[in-house]
Amino acid sequence: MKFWAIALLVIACMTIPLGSFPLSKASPNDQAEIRSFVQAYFEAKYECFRRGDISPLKPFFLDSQSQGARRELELTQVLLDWRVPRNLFYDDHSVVVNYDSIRLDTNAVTITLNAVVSYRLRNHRVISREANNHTLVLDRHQGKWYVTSDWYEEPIGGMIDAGHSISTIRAWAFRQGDPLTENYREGDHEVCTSVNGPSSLAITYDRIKAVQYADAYWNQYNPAYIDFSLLGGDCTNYVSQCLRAGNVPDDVSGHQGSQWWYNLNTHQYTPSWTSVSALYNYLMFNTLGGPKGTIATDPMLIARGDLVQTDFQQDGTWDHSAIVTEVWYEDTAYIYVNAHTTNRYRYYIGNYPGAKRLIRISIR
Amino acid sequence: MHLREFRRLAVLLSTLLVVFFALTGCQEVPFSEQMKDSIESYASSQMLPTRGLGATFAELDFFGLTKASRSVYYVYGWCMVAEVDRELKVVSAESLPMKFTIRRQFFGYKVVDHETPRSGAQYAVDIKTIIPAEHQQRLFDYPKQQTDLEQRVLDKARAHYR
Repeated sequence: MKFWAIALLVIACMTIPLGSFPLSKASPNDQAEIRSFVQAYFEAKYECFRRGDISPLKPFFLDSQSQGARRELELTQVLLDWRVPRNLFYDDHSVVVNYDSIRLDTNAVTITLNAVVSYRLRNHRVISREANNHTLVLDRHQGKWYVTSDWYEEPIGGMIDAGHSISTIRAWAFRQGDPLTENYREGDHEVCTSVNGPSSLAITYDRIKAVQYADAYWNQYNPAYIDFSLLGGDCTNYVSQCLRAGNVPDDVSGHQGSQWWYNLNTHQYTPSWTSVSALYNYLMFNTLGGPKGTIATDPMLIARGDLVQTDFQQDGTWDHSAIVTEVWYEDTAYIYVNAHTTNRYRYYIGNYPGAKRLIRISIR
Repeated sequence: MHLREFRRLAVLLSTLLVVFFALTGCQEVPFSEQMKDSIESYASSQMLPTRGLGATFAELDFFGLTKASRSVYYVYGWCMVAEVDRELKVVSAESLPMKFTIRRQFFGYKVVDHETPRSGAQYAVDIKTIIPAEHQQRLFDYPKQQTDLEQRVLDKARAHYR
């Protein structure tokens, strides 16, 4: 009798997980609280893509330096850094959370779920859907729930897990400029498809800063520079200033024909700083430091901060340079530029007559 | 000839002269608000290819006026045309030196043509042919000056959307 009592007790103990039980066994208040928290977390996660910054996500992590928080915040930041210059903001979105399993411990919850986000990008008509499987661990601290970790399949997350620093990942991601943009289509906005990133750091072209500069000085010229309106036009001087504002370093390497710089003290400069064709030749053929250009045959490869040059008469003489300040990606990319002489702001390039070449900018 | 008759003749001649000058347009025509309104109305509807995101407004800074014929004038100035949305955000704009050809009509003025410099390398070349020499330096200096042109455009937009 005693033996059977002990055996039954052992079997009972084995069937009841110690300190852990399904959420269905939790109080209705806890269930509602957790579900509401998870919903709010996913709303905030995608709100970042509407606002263009990660601030909505931060309050969901108790310690922003914890491994789980850093993974999610840094991952979101890299995605935003890629999206913002391309104007790929969410206009509106909704999230549906489908729960697979929820395990509640004393002060922590482990949830596996499938989150489906439906979103429309700003200036886009199409509604896209994206689904991800998440393993979410929540922790309760002083009566409030926080996210401890949120794991889901994501190439950049994979690089973070592999121990690459965020600056390395960002540098790598932005050096993949063309493939990144190429991969982007509505409903398919994966940032990159490979996790084999290089480990070296690089200066990145800050397209946001370049565009901010372009907007600040489109109609009022920066007095720190010579105005070239009378000297063959100020358009290329203006786009060179924008590139410099976007962290593109002056290039003083090699002989002068392969340099790109402007001295603000002496007002000396290279032809590539001010001349349409000299800038083009420099961007295409410079082999040392400084900015690098590649011709984009598909407008979908163009993002804010890239350049457009125009040959109005189509006589082989390229007349005008402008900087891309806005792009709408739809069936094709609708590209808007800022320019000097004549001064234009968010001007659709289709309104310029003649031939155009689209130049994708990177830093060598 | 009596003094009275002489006076009558003088008054008659003066009147005829005034009528003659009025008809032939030989008198100096100052740049007027009426001209400015006609130009800005024309510029806001004819110059900027719009994006369909807002309404278009124009403002002119006047530099000079020359007479082309009896009732046709050339007006030179710097013009900003901007499409502004309901949130008073400029969504597209251009700001450039302009030459407008205006014709005096029975009531007011009508803009019949405009010229702008081409962009890029042709800009300076075109300004020298479009704009008279006495206004050229002012136009070249204009982009480095602080102007209220954009603010005036936004004020117009604000009034429009109110």
